[in-house]
Amino acid sequence: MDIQHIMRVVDASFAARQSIEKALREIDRRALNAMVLVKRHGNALAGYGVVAQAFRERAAILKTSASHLQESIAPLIEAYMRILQHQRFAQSFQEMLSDSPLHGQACPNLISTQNTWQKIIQQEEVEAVKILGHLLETVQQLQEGIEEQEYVVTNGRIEAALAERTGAPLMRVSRDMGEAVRTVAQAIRSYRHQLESLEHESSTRL
Amino acid sequence: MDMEILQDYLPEARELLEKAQDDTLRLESDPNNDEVLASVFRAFHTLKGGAGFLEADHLVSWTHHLEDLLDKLRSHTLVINGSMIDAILRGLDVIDDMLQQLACGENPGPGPEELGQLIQELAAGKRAEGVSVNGPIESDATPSPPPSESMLLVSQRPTVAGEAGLFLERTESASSSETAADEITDAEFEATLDALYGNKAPGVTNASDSEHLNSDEISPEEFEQVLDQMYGKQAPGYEQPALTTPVSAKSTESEQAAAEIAPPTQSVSTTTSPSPEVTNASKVTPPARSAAAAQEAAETTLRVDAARLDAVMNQVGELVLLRNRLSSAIGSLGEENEDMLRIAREVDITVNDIQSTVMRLRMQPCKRLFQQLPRVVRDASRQLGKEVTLEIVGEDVEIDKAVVDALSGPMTHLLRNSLDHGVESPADRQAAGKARSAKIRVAAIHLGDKVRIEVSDDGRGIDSQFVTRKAVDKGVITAEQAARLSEQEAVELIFRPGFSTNDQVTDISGRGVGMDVVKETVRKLRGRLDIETKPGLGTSISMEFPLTMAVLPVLYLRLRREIYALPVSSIESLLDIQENRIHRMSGRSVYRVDGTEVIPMVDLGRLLHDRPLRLGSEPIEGILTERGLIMVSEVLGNEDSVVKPIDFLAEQNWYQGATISGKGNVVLILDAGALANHVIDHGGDSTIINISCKGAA
Repeated sequence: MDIQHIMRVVDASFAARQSIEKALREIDRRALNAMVLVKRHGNALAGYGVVAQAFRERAAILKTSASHLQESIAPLIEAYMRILQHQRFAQSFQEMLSDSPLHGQACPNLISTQNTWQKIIQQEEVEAVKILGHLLETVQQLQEGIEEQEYVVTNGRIEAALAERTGAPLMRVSRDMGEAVRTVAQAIRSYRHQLESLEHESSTRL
Repeated sequence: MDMEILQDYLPEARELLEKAQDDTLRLESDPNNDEVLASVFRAFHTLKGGAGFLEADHLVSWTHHLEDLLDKLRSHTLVINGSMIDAILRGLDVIDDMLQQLACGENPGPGPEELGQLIQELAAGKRAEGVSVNGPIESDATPSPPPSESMLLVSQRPTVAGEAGLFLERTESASSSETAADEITDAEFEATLDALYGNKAPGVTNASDSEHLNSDEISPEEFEQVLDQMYGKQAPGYEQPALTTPVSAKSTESEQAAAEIAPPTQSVSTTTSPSPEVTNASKVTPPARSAAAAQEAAETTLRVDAARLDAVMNQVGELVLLRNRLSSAIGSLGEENEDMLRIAREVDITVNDIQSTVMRLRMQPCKRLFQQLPRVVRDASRQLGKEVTLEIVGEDVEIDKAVVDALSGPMTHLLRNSLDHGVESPADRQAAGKARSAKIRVAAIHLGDKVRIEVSDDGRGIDSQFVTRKAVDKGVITAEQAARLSEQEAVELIFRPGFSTNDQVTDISGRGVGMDVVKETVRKLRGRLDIETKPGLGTSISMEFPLTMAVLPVLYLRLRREIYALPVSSIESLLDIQENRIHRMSGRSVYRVDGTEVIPMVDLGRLLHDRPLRLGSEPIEGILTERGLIMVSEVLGNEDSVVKPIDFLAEQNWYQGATISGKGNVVLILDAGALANHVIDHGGDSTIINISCKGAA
């Protein structure tokens, strides 16, 4: 692991957060649009109203999940930055030992300190992996939420087809909803890929 | 005056009056319809009876004369003609005025003497020179020999109670050939009545005669007894229509058949000159209802005071607000409680059901709104010398009572306006290659949670340039504002207060008030007004109203820290504002919605906070309405709300009212139309959207 890799994760987190927030806002707007459309048509589109309501509620749940995602990113970055810092320390002690002519005999405290740093780093790496695992779980939940949202969109398409005779542009609304959900799904998938590569590297290191 | 009787009498009298007017107009195209004649007669008779109980002597007298005329028409002693129709319609207007006086707690004064005299002379067959308005109607008002079926035997003998009574017997012509000496005609019967009672016939109480009243005067009860003795179960006003008039079985059957095959469209011709086209107008046949059905309806129908319904509706409104607060409170609970959620859902469903049921209680068919229109068209077309066929569609469509009550005036304005400005004279129409008779169509269409009412004509349409010129001339708008108007906005100038294309005020138009009233009424009813016109082809004005006025679905929005509401009915969609779609046009900021639609932008920040929203530096979302794109900070969500009027604000403001949100806060409801109008009127000042750090698009 190096600083470049961590910076890539930071960038990916920022981009994912931006993209998810925007897409969730879009989902919320689509859902509200659908609810306005339903209200304008009275009871004729009551079935689609239920779908739109569910879509908006799911969007709110996704928003909450996304905020949990943000809560986990900062500790993860902090943990990796600390690991890097402590690796530097350990590295410097290692260099001191290597540079000493009495290597391995004259400075037992130095060796002990260096070993202590190595242990601390290992503990921190375990902790970081835990945070990463938690983050991946959150991402997993977000993806499950997206799948449920896709299911709601499918239901919406069925309702739209059933209510086609009313003349309301429900198919277009459903299509817009589907696109908004796909945007979120894509952003999350890309982010997950970044996190998994980090996890892979961390595991290799361990 | 017995107020309890008055309260029962007035609504029934108004219904009778409306039906009588409807029937009288039908007599114009179908003068030989005995059933309709009998119906009008019954209406006058019932009106007279009720007025007698209320001691409204002038109303009794007035209805008596009309009843007298109708009785002779009904028995074919006289033949109906145009003068009679006119007199009856004018007589109905007088009764309407009298009913209004009664409603104010006053005893009605006498009707117009001249008209009263005319009606009496017509009834006496003294006015034979009446002008026939329709082909089939004979102008000859000379009493015709009564048909053999109407031969009556009259005798005077003591009643069961031992009092002097008048007995009348109907005899079949076949079996009464030998009674020629004893038989009297209806005219002779009337003469006998006059001889018996003189000017003190039942119901006739002229002021000048009242001081001479003596023991010969009969009470209303006695009058009813006399009628019962004369007619038995065939008494006028008796509830079984099949027995009231001597309509042959054959004709009744044919009319029932006609009613069954008649399309749900009523066409009323109101041409002012005798024309064969009149006969082409589809015949209106009253729905054939059996006595049993009428009885059943009477048993299952309950007349309820509208104020009580309003009270129930208000209470349901409060219930809706409480429901919203409950849902909001449960939603904000920290942890999910399944029981509470289930209770909230059930309350939600129950309140919706109650709301829907109470809403239906207030619904009335558009027929109530439309039934005055044939008369309006008839009178105005005569006055203007135009030939018009009125087509009414969708009388059965139901709408909130408040809308029906409020639209009565605007509908009249629209029709008169259409007749005066839209419909050309017959000669002009012929010159333009159109039929002599214009067509005005009034339609009610059910659209989801709305009802659309359309008034369209096939007249000359509206010339937007002429309208703009007139608006500038009359000072309704400035020349600068006129230059910025689109064609549609120019046409919509006809709804501005003070606007009229007529330079002279006439009975029909010219004051510049009518169309403004239409627009204001639609606004107050939270409706939508649209106008579509094609030069040379006609104009269509449509009004859309919510099915119910009790509950208003709104969208909550945030403008910086403040929450507002906007009626869902005025929203087309919600948009994400894109900078590259903002343009400047004629000093206004406009937004390109798609390839074809460009609409003005309404910066709510500038209008309400006097501080424009800044795209890029603060969140902005767009709400697309029919008149403009309203810029807000955030759209929050929707809710069914109840509108509370805010009377303390100035007449012209941007709010429809206020409501209480689910969180218990008072939220102002914005009027999207007023906001957009302000932007259109005040041009560029209020619509510049500031784009932070990037300059104007």
